[in-house]
Amino acid sequence: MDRKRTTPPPPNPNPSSPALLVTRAAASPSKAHMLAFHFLRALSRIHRVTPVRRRTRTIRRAAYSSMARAAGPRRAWSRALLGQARSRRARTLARRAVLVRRRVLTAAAPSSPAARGGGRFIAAGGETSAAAASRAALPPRQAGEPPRADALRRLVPGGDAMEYCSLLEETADYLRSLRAQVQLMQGLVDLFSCQ
Amino acid sequence: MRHPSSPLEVPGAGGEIQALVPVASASGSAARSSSGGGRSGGSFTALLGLPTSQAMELLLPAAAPAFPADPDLVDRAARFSAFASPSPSSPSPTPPPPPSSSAAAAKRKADPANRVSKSKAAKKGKTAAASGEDKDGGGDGDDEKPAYVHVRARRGQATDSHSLAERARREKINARMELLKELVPGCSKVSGTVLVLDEIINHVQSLQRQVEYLSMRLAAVNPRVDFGGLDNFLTTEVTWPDMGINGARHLMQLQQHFWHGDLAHPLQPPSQWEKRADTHPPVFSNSSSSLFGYDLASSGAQPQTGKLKTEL
Repeated sequence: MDRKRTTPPPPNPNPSSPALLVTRAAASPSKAHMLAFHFLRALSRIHRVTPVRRRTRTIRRAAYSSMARAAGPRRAWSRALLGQARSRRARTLARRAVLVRRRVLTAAAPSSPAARGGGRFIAAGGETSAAAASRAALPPRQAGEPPRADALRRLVPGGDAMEYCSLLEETADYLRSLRAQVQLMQGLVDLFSCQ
Repeated sequence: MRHPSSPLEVPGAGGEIQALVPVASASGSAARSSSGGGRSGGSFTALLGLPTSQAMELLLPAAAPAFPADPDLVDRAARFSAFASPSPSSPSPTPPPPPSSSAAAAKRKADPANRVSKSKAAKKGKTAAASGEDKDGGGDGDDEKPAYVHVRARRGQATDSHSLAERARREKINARMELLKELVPGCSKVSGTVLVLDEIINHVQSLQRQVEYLSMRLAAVNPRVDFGGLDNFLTTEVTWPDMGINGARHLMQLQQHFWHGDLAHPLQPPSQWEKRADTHPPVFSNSSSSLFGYDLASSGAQPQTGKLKTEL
């Protein structure tokens, strides 16, 4: 096993150090590195924390989040994805806070409908404000775009608020990122089920 | 009186128009401050207030050597309403890119002047430098971001600003579609926008389905590697006792897949892009090495990773 790892990989251009695959720290890591970094970290956390039943969903969300983080904030779709994740997190936190408050209030005072209603309104208001902010963008002028474009808009995150031209560009970048993510995950699955 | 219309002349004329702008700004009135100053635009309008021949006379002494001495050529160039920015086939000595930055700035400043002078100078067509919709030109070699694109209007096509803008937009969309067709496998033989779009949509959907499927498999995978060991590099936990030779080979495959050359320190970008304080990246950089057999160069981690290597 050691022998396999001691052979330095061909594409590695770095001067070999005694520790076989030591590489120098470059200034800016490539996108694939960022992807793997974020995704693996999330994966390890998920396997540690999340119960088995809800792992698929969480892993999928972690995949999209790591894709968005690797793409950087310059892309509209990555910003939209991260905004979605953040709003979802805020929503669950708000919901949990409401439940806690409800429990506390029902324990303390028998009925405080105002507080409970207020709590519910807070959660609903938070959610709708976040959702409305994303939905408030006007539909862009679609001069000669084909009718299939709205299906594309639904697929690409944040596609509703884009013009057709930038939609195509974002689709290309999203496609590249998706492919990288799929390759990463496929490689991981192969790695762990190679037996 | 009419020059023999050759396609080569038009880029020449266009280039000359391009040359006209910085030249005009350069040889403006004495009151001009700098080439990029707004006052140069004013002098330019003053110039264009004159009839073409007088403007030519004014400019000719200070003009670039290849300046067309024929005012009619200038008119024709104006009528043709488009000139391509760096077109490699242009034979005329267009001003080289080094003054192009100042030219771009001058163009931007002179554009409102151009708009004003449009109606005066060239009634038939409008120069594309002042076309209604300006955007980035593809393949421009400029370092600074050019604010205008130059669209070539072919013979017999309408040259008003609306159709120009539409044509530019269509060309942009077509360029993006070409990009997408390259990305999607099996799309290059399909012709027609609708089918290509269908293919793209199918491809995106299939990729998303694959992500879902793979996440299900990853959730179900029994991590023989204790993933907790990835977060803190207590490497004694991380043992892959039953990873056979295949595992190492997969490691190599993976590594050749993703990591081009040197594996960089993923420290700086995460800290900038991540808004939440997650676990320390340096910690993970070593633990990812445990997974992929890489040793990301981080200072205090050599002994541990050494231990890790021996384990595998």
